[in-house]
Amino acid sequence: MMERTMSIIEELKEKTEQEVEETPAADFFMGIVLMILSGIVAYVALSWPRPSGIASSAGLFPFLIASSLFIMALSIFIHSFKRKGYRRFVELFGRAYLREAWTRGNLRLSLFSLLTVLVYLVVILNLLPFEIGTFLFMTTALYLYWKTKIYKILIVSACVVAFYSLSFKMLFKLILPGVGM
Amino acid sequence: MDSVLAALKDLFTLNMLIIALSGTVLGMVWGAMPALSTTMAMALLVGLTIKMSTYEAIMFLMAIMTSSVFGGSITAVLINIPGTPASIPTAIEGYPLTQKGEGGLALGTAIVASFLGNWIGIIAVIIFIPLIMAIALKFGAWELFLLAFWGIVICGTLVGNEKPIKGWISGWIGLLIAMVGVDPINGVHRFTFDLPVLIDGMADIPIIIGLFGLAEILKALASPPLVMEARPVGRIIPPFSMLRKHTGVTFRSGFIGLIIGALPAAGPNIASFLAYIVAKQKAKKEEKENFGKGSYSGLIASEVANNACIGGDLLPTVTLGIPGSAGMAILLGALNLHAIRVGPALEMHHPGLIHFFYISLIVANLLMYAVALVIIKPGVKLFTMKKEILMPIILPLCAIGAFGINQSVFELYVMVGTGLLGWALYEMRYPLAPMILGVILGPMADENLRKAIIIFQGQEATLLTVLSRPIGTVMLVVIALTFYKGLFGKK
Repeated sequence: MMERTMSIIEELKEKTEQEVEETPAADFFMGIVLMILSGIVAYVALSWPRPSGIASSAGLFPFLIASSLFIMALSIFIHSFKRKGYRRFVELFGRAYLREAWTRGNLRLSLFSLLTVLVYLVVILNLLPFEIGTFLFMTTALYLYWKTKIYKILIVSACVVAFYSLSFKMLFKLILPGVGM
Repeated sequence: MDSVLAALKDLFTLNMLIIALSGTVLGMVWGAMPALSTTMAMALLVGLTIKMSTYEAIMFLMAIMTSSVFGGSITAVLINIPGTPASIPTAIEGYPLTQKGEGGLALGTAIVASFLGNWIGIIAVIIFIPLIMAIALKFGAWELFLLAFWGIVICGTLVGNEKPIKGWISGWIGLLIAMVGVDPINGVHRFTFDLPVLIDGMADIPIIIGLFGLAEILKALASPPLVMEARPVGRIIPPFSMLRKHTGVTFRSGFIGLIIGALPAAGPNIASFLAYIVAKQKAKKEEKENFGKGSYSGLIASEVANNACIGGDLLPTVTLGIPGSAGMAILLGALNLHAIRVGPALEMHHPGLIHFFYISLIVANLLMYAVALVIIKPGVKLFTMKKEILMPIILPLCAIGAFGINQSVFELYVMVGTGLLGWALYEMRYPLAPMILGVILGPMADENLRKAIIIFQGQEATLLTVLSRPIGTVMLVVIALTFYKGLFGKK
């Protein structure tokens, strides 16, 4: 128990301090994405009207930001290139890496979490009223993550939905998302 | 004096007291639960302030912030899992005390230390806010631009830690997001893609909820479960002699918390670690041996610093409009919703508001102390709730908060988009706090830079004239040093 909790603390410490961690594949990818993005922004910003010179240009600040972002992106791109970031990036899509990540469960868990969240926010809330949609989402999500008896899940889901609906609508006078809001 | 009385009059209403109490309870429970941070509490609960008055919103958010910073220490001491990252040093010292059967006393010490830390912050706020505001009133457009710019740069440097460039990139992305909408000087549509919803720009709150709410939920759901086991609490109130013995640590850690808090976005996490390290270095030999095995000195240092930090955070936020932490950035977002622009002229535009900030901090601190004593024992079961249960329950709050701003589905999509962006950036080790600062300070930087250039052109100013402005030149040097420290400083 002690070992487990100490490892959790170590993990949290690591995350908090954002210790140096070389991420060449991510830097390679971000370097390219940011260079393209900042290049487009700088180009568009230059095309905006300048009624009386540079000071009045709406594109002045976006251009300055985009061009300095381009330099920073180039810097992390070069840094990652020196550390063979391109090779690591390609490896991420290799069958061996994907199979290992899938077997270990982290890729599966990440994709599954992402899917659950997106289905609720983008699909369910566009098709159903808040109360029904949230009840369905919560029941499914608790069933999948909590893995306990179904009657407990149904009670918790119903109570939480009732609490949200009553408190937000009555107490805080907010309109809730969902169809028929 | 009149403004103080007016602020007090607004405070003593039943509605306000209920709001303060609910903010305190929600904040403490939120802070105590592992995987739920203070920033996340502020981000998700800020949606509740939409229909509140400005004073009620301030009271609610200050109560959440004060109590959630302390709340993190409850589970840190009792189950060795810090509720917030700022409570990690508290866990290192508090949990061994719990194992020795002194869990209640350790928690009581943490409560008193947090209470004292908050007082140090409150006194500093009352003394320094008028002083800083008096200086800040001398700032022109050029200085305001440099200040906003420095806020983002220093935040990137501090939270990017060993890789400041990633912090700066995050801040720059935030600045670009802030550029969406109609330009404030010429009315040019920037990055609106002819979509009417983008004309007013992107609202701060859905972005904040996405980055600090949805991204956190995705992170937590995709990580392995935590093992939690509650232990009995026992006696809580610490003896006075023990507190007197640690007076030096208290004041020193309070000072550290204040200074760290006053730096943009360097919040309680850095403050508590730094105060803990300094306490360990300064401890006498016999006390030093206790560190890591249950030291009250280390516990007090961490708790005093992370709570004093709240006052420190408020200093640049209220006086200059530069958020002292991610939580304060959310407070600024909430104030924007109520059409309040904080900064040097706040007292002129909204008389009494500053005094209300002081009073809200005092009330939040007193309530934190009282609520902590009442809910710790019965709340232990609740605090150990698994994140697999918590996260599906919290997700609808994100939707409610983002949607509630303008009752617009578009805001919901903004929240989803920024949540995914935040999660992806986190996975690639980019800090998110600078991005929020960029979003909030972007319009200020843009508008003031252009105003400054127009003024300089009107005066036919040369580079020498620009450099002869003392405050601006000092700030330019500070910005250059911040970049230098980030690029070439000791790693």
